[in-house]
Amino acid sequence: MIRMSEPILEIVNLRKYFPIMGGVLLRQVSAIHAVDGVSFDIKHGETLGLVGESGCGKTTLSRVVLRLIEPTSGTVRYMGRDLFELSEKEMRKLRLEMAMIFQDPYASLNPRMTLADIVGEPLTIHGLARGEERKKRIIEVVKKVGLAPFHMYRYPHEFSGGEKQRIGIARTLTSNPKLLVADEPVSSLDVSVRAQILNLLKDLQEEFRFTYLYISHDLSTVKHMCDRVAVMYVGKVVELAPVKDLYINPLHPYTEALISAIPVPGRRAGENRIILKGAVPTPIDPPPGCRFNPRCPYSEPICAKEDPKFIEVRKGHFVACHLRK
Amino acid sequence: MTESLLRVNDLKTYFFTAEGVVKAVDNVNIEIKKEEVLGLVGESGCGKSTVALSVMRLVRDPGKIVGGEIWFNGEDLLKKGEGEMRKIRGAEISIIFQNPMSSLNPVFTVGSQIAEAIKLHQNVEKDKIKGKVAEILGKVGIPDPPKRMEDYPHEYSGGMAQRAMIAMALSCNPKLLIADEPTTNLDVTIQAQILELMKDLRKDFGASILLIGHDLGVISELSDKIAVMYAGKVVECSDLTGIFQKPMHPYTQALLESIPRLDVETDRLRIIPGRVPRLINPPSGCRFHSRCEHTMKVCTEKEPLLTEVGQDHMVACHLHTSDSKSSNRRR
Amino acid sequence: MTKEPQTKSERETEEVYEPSKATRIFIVWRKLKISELAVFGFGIVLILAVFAVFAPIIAPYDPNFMGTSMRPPSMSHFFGTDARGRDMLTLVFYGARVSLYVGLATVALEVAIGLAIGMISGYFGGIIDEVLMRMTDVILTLPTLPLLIVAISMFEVRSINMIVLVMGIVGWPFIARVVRSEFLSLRESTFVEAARSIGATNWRIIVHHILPNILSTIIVLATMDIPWYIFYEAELTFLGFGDPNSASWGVLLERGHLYLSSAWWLITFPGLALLFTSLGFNLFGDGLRDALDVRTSGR
Repeated sequence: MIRMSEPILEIVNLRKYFPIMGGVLLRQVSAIHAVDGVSFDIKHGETLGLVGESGCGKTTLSRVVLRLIEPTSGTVRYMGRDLFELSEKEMRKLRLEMAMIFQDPYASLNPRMTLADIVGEPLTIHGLARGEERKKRIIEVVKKVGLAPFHMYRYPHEFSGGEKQRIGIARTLTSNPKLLVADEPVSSLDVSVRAQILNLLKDLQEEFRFTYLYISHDLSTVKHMCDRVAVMYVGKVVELAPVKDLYINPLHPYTEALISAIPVPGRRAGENRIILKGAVPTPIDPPPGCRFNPRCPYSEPICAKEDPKFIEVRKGHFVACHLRK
Repeated sequence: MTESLLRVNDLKTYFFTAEGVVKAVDNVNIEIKKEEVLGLVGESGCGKSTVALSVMRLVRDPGKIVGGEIWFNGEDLLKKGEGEMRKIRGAEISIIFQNPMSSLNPVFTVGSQIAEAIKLHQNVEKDKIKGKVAEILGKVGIPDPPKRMEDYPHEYSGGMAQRAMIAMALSCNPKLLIADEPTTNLDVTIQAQILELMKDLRKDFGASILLIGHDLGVISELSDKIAVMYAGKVVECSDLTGIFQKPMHPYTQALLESIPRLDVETDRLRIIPGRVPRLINPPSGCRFHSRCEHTMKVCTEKEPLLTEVGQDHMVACHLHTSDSKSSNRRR
Repeated sequence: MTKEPQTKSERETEEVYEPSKATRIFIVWRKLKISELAVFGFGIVLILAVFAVFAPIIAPYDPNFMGTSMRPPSMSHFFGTDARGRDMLTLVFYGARVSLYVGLATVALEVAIGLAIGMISGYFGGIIDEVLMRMTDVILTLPTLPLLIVAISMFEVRSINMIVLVMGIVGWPFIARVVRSEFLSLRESTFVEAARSIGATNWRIIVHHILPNILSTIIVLATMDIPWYIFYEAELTFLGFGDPNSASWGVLLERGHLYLSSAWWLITFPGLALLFTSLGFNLFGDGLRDALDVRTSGR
């Protein structure tokens, strides 16, 4: 029995390290701490945004959460079931309920498969429908994303960028998923096409009550689409809060800087805009203490020694910072 | 009134491909005054990058500038020979591109590439060149210039590489800097750094900037005036208030409502129906008419001309220009 | 309205436009037609095939019929006659049979072996991959013709099929390498990741997603390899390592080379045949590469 009060996805202390080999004997010399101890829940029916700049680990996290990459340590529970304990067969069956929308619509479609084949593939793999019934289901899904069934047997290159992304979305709908991970679904698309896809995602969620994990580096889009937002920095989640709270009252210094860095159309940045110094660090063998410490305007001695814990400082608002307790 | 530094009149750049003639830039008029920043905004394929390349006369086969004039500092660049253009490029007009990593030669040190620009255009004694390079690297905020000068591009981060590009572009004190999507590939916090840098440098160097991009927020940060391009034409041109608070062209209005914004709350974004037309056979009349809510008969037949409709506010739209006004073309 | 509108009629209808298999082949043909050279190449290949298949019907004489020997080209013998009085035109037609067979059979063999080994190497990786790739290294480093000669010499029996076998065994490493590298790169592609995300098994990914994308590259490579093998067989025969009983162009060349100054027609026409065959397959293969690429629409 599904209890809607329980989260649909629970991530507990998830880590993913990529070893770096070196030396003559090719031993592991260091590691990329792509995801370094991440814990949070995703509630049924919500859209949780995951934001961060390059190297923060959001892409890796999205892959581990769907078990497309094996974790180094930690747990992910989907509807109470530990994903990493499942057998391959059980995991494959579960994939009907968890789907991914990819960033690059060109690359995510097999150029040699027709639209119908691509959208119908989940049905084929899991033996869900055949013949006429299969065709009907494909047509149904194709229409849901706003494409004409007339073009069902065309190849990806015959469609525009926005249409290709619709095909990618249609593919996820075919199996009636519950959780959708959208990895930067509109960043490869033209500006005027983005609105169509974003609206489509919202419409579909309204109709089917999906849960979205929405990954992006574009904070304006995330604010528009999400209910809650998690901010990642060098492998860790530094803040998690309902969207309004995050944007109006960011607690973590990095979040503050991130939000103030967004250029707003029609406005020049104010005098109090925060400009961070230095570059975004790579997650290779991070130093002890808070990851953000070297760039933080409020740095204190403790910040270089101890890693701050990720705690709930207000209702629903989590931060990992020594100064905000 | 400040005089113009750059004035592009009726520029036409077409690409002669096997499939047909792509009218990438079709009768574009823009003007940049001294020490002014003009933002050229539009979606991919609208022709904004082609305008930049045309001004630099860097358009390659199968593209050709087939008409118009480009007045820079009182001279028509389209009448100049390649030798003269080479003296202008890098010295009077510089350009920086979207991806700094691909614009920097990976087998030479960053310092030597900047030195090359200085050597080509300025009479600086050999022993003083290194000093100049270090000086300009410092100005763009690269820490420890004497050391970083000797590094290779791959040893620079994205933000630093873009700073190095800016340094190279400004090394000879150009009058006009063309920046084509300079921050598109950068992380948000790095983008903020680069935009701040460009603002400071603008004050220090007194150059005019032609800033090209598709992100209205980024363009707003630096620009004094904004020109909106669509399908090879300029459809609207005004200052920040004009564009963002009183947009007149239906495309500009729709564009502003179709992007998610930090300052505006909407449930569903506005959609611009249809697609950007192919520039091989552009539609007759106004190129936006098939997607416009306010299309009238004249829109399908006659092309609207860019006309002044307010204080420093130009639009190319039949809604705002009657026949008598359209003869009032920009001089 | 939030969905992207297509033409109103297209949206409303449930009707589906389903191009048949014939249409798809037509599309490939249309793309091929774009390059005149490719069509020219295809034409040559077609003519060659006609010669080979219909040799008994279209050849003016029986290949064993011996008339006046050493006659230069004339109205009755377009290509002249050889030392035994056989009609050269007929011999060239019949030679096409053998040479074409050699080319096709060898390519089929090398692709079969190369595809299998390349896929195994790419899929398993590790020590299997290392061992197989070292093997390919060895064969690829050695110069082909000497290698073929050495290999052929190890057998006492010389038959066309033996030659095909030896050439196929020498030829697979190249194909295996290409297959392996395509496999490895396709395995990392986003659409394979997408397939995994909807629950595809490894088998399905290999057969359904990776293989079709590899095949078009391989078809092109194979087509361009055909003339190579026809040539190699000719060279081997010329050098005395061939099958003297076969009627390939190589045999004709071998027989006729001694008479270069006196009876030029003995080697000229087989030589020209070889040349045009090579040209034809190369041009055709080139055009095929573009025609098979699903990404180009051919409009």
